[in-house]
Amino acid sequence: MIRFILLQNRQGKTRLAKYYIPLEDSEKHKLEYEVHRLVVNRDPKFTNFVEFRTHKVIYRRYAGLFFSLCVDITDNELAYLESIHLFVEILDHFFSNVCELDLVFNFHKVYLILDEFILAGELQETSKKAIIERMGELEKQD
Amino acid sequence: MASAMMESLFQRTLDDLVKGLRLQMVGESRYLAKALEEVRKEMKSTDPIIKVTALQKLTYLQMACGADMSWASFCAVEVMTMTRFSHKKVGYLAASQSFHEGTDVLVLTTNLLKKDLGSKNEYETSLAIECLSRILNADLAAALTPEVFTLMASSRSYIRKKATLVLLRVFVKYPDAIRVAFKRLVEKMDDADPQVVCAAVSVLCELTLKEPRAYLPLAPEFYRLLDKSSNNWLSIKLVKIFGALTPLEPRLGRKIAGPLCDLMRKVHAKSLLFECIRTVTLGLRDHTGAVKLCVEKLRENMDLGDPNLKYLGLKALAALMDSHPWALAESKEVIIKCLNDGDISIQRRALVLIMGMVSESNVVETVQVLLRYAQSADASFCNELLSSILQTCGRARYEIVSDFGWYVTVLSDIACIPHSEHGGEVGRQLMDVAIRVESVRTDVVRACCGLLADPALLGRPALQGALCAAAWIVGEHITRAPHGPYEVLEALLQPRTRLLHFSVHAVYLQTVLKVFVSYAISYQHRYFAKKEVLEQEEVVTQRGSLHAAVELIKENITPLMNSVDMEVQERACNVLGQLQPFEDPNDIHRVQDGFEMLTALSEVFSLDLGPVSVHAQGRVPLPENLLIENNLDALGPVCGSDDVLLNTGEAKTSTSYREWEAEFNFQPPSKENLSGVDPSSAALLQQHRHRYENFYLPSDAPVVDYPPAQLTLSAATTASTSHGPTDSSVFNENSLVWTKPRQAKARRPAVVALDDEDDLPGISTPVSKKGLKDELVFEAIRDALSADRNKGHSAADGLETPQGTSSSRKSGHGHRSTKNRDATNPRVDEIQIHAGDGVGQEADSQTPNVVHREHRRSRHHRPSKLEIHVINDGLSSENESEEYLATVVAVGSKGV
Repeated sequence: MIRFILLQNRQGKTRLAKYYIPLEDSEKHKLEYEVHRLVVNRDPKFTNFVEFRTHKVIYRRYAGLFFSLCVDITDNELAYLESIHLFVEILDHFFSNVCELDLVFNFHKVYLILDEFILAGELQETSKKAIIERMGELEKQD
Repeated sequence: MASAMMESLFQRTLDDLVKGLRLQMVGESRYLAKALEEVRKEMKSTDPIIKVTALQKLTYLQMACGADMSWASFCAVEVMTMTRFSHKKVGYLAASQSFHEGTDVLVLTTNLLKKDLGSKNEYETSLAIECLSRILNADLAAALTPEVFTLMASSRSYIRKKATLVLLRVFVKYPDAIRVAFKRLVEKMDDADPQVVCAAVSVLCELTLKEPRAYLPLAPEFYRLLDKSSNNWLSIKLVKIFGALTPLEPRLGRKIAGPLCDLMRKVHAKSLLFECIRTVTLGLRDHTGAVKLCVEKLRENMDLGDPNLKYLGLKALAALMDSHPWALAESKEVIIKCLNDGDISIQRRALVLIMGMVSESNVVETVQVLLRYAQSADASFCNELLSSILQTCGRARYEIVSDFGWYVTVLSDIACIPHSEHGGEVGRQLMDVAIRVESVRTDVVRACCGLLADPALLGRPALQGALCAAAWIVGEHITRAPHGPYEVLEALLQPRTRLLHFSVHAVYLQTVLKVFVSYAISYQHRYFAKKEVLEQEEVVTQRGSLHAAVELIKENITPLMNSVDMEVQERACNVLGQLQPFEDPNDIHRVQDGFEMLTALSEVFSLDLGPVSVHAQGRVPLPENLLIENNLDALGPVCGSDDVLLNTGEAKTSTSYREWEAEFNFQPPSKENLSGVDPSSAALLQQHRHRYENFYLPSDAPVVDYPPAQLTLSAATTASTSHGPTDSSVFNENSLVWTKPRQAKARRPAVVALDDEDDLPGISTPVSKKGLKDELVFEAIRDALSADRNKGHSAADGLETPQGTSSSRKSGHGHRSTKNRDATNPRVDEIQIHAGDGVGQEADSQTPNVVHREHRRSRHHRPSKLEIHVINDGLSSENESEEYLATVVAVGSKGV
């Protein structure tokens, strides 16, 4: 299952963080710092998987943003890599040509999208269309 | 009113806050503090809009800047209760971001969540479910299980999906929920909406990975789903489940091998392909066809050049390493190429594989390749390479090394590689090889002389271990030194040796002494034996002459007499002391005296040193007058208090206490025994105790916690071998029995209770809480599955003949159930547990024995799959109705 998802920029600023396991605040900051250090200097030619403590981080870089998923060691790396891409596509579609600022100013919407995509650490919807439609409905709620 | 309007007009919106934060290049913390102060004020406002905005801002600050928001949890609950959806969602977001199990306001949310879960608006329900998945604790889970259970049957697939997924968290926090909801979870695998099916399988996948055995009976369902699945994500989960199940059930492997191979051949998604490969490496290693296909696919994918595929390929090959070495051999070239990859994770994986492939036949070329890579690799990977070479070659007494001359050069090469930090291990292995392999000693000494002579190595602290070993080896075997002792002396005394650590330097000095002794003796043989006259001019002038050596040593060692380190200082003094007779070459008498002394020393030095075998003690013959048994009899109570293996020398290493007891005619100590203790020893002990009071445990404290009998016994044996019977009697009896006879006696019964007594009726061993929970879960799953299984076929049957005739199956059951006719009683028990647990806790307390007995049985002898099925089949109909009833009752009672 997914332990947490992080969106960080190159400077290490957290743009979105969602934890699916209970953690202390101090521990969260430490994780964010460590994950950033782990992924930021990796060459684009390197693998998208890094072993991280007893888990592994699947990350992908889009422009200046790193999308990192921390998953169990037995989980399927490629599937989660694909799901990161799917998530980015959804964001891109929703914000039409998404950029870092969209995510910053609309962080609550990003959370809503994420909650339609992942629930309790499991992928709940694999259809981009369904999520976009769902978000449309949600926007209409008062 | 007006002030409220002013407030809302002048409140900073989220956008303002974000913009402000972005503008703060420096002094962000001050800005943050100010913003938090504002938020704090705004939260006290009565205007809901201001409050909501403030909470949203705080949520942002918590996420982006790590601000603490635990103080605002009550406000979050307030906002959650608001009726407008746009407000409510802000509250829910804040809660799911900041609440945790211990948040005190969680108790306030129970009713709110209950209401929102039952809301007509599916988006509100969805918010509540999401929040629930984050903040769930045991109480909430217990209170809300009925709601989640109801939502799983909702008419809207959107809700069904979410409720199914959140079930995993509910199970984790509240295992009793498994009784209630597991059956419905299994039903969801047949849901009309594929996303719901996917959710159910995801949950089952997580559960299966935790405790695969419990879910074996569901295998036919999983198989059916996999067969018709067209969704890759679902297939991945199913294949993963099989990866956990097949190692437990070989028949399942046979069944699944064909479909998996088909899938691997036709699938385009790499993720699914690699999941299949993983399952094959986990559970289908015996299916040569499947493994071959895997290896083929792996090679195809690794050749594509994508680093991700390369990495995953290496990982999969590593899983095949032990069982199918040929798979690695076939891909050897690709693997070696990966060593040069820039990515450290790929390099590491490749290294592991290469080391796994090393055998006696290819070790030479492999190590050469690795050393070549080590020369160019960066420091950390270089050291990983070197350490794995050392580890692999040194394994099991150099099992794979046949040419030790070659290995010694490898060791010295490793020491000389610029980044090398493995001086200690190189030194240990050099020493080990020098001692163990006599034929190769000359090579070792040559290599060591090379190491000692290289001034560059002295400046590298990490290599001092190797230099220390080299110095010792050369000192021990100086006669084998290739260029003679004088060169060695020069190497040992070169100026850079002052960079050495004191402990290593001390070894150097000792070596100097040994080398000098050997040198002087050989000198004496050469000249004095023949001529009996010292040819002065030769002695004084020539390089390499005795006098030159003396001067060389004196010059370099004299400063060390003032060394800070005592060991170095002492050895320096020793060396110089030995040189004194040779200071004046004209004083023939003194020189002669000196030679005599050196001859005596050389005899001492010529003794071969070596390590002492761990079994050496066992080879020492027992003295005849040693009476071990007599004195140890009294130890009985203490020995008995620990059910450990007694280590009484080589022959007894694996004797259990029982056998030992029988062998020695063990009798529990009677009063005579105890009173028969030698009074003098008692007095001795008293004295000792008096003097070293603080090293004794206080007499009122329980003594039982310290060293088990094993230690005492061996200590006693050694003591008695060395000091004779009297001493050992003092040691044994007083220290262990006589002083604390009571405690020792009191503790004994706890140990003697052995397995067979566990099954006595009425005695229940205490079960730890965690164990209890696990067993409860296991049992509940079994029950739920058994209900599910009532369709009439067991998992194994389903596997063997998915569409087989029912008559043959029935006969099969009849055959088995005769074996298990005794299962009637447990059957009744099980039903009791069900009903009891379903209704409430008071029923639970009425049948503790049954529950416990169930545990114990399943713990010591977990019922095999076969047994479970037979029991289930026997009571399929009643069990189902009972289970159903229990479920309904539970839901009803909790719903109230």
